[in-house]
Amino acid sequence: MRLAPVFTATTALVASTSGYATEYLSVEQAQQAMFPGASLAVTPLKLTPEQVKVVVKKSGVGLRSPVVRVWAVSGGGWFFVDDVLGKHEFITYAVGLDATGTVRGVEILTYREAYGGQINTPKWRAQFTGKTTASPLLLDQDIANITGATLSCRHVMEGVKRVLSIYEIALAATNLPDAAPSAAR
Amino acid sequence: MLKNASLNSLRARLSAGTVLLLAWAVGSAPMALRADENTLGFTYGAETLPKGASEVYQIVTSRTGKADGHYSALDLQTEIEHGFTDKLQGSLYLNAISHDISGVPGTSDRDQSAFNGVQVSVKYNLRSADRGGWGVAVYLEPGYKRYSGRSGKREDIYFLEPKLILQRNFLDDTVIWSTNLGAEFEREQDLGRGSSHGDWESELELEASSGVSYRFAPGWFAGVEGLYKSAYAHMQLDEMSENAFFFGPNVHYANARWWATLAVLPQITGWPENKDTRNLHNYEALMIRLKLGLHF
Repeated sequence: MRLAPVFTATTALVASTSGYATEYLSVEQAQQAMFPGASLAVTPLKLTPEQVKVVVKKSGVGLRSPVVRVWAVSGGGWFFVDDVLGKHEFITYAVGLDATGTVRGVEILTYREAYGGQINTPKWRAQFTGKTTASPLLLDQDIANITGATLSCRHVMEGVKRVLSIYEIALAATNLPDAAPSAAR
Repeated sequence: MLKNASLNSLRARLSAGTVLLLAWAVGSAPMALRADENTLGFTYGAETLPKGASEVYQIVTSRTGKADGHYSALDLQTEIEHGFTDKLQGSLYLNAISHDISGVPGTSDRDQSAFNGVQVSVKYNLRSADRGGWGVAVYLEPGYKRYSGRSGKREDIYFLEPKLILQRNFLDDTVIWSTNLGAEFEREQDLGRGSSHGDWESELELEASSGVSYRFAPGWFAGVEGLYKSAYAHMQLDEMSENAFFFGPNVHYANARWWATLAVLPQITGWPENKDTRNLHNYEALMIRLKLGLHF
């Protein structure tokens, strides 16, 4: 009946949907922004089931995969790349930790949402600098919320909390390897 | 009422308008604003637009099926929504309605489409579910309708619809559960033919709806939704005249430019029963709603 043209158009629309993403930085650009001049080496890391449990319990955030994308930084420090859910799509972000496990910087690599891109402002990201596993990392407590991007703010904040927990559980006791430039960045 | 000669033209315009709206959605450049998008067809979520943000919605609801005869009604709503503060949003609706009825006992045959009044709404967010925990909002919608949604008769209907909206997200915000508890206070007058206007009558409708939607792929949600409606004569809660319960699936898609939600709700049960366990005298056998939202 009369809805037929509407449904036809909707079907065509859904069929034509294409992803929309804003790529702010590549992995290499984020590495150089956080650790200028340093060389980074891919560090294979797969958490054991026990480590996953502890990370989830400690951070209060779920873990989709036990495989962690992490690089060791020459001279000390770690560089993580992780994904968290936005409202519809994943937000890809990077976290740099210094040799003591303190957050050196957070960069948004790819943002795929219609709104909330303000989380990439330097001012908002700078709130994470200096955070450790001892920091509360709570919205509107030590991390300010951005109206209209609450979900993105909360999920990135929780992601940083998870990265700090992974560092504490799996890497803090690790002797840093002599990092060499990695071909597999 | 419109004469049949202009009927097809109006329908064509309504359908063409919707298609044009969709085409505009596809062609629009992505803009970095935010959405108070609806993952469910009949149940609202508790989020509101931030200050200064706006959206346009097109809502198409098909209501079909009676115990006997042919019954098909179409409600078209165009809504403009704006965030006045970070917690308060307002909307303006322009409505059209179409009826195609023949051989339905107790209802006059008619084949008509017409403008069906306006309404405004305000929604105030008391707590955002995106922060974790419960999301709560209150909603108020006064309006005016020119036609009976059920029979298509010319009437003057003034209504006021308050709602309480609850929302809770689960599993890393991939599951969204929303519940609405609402009432609709109506004052209506049958305008009939010529100057033989009926008396003003009052009616109270209570409505409760609840649904859950799961994000199964990036941008895609699917779920189920239930809707209970009941009506009370003279606004007296001890004078229930009818009720019905609808339940069915829904699917939602969103990207940076637009979102769409399709809900299909057949009537499961109703009272007074006049067709198996359903009330097909006062309500329809099937409701299908398509919502489109555009960010701008």
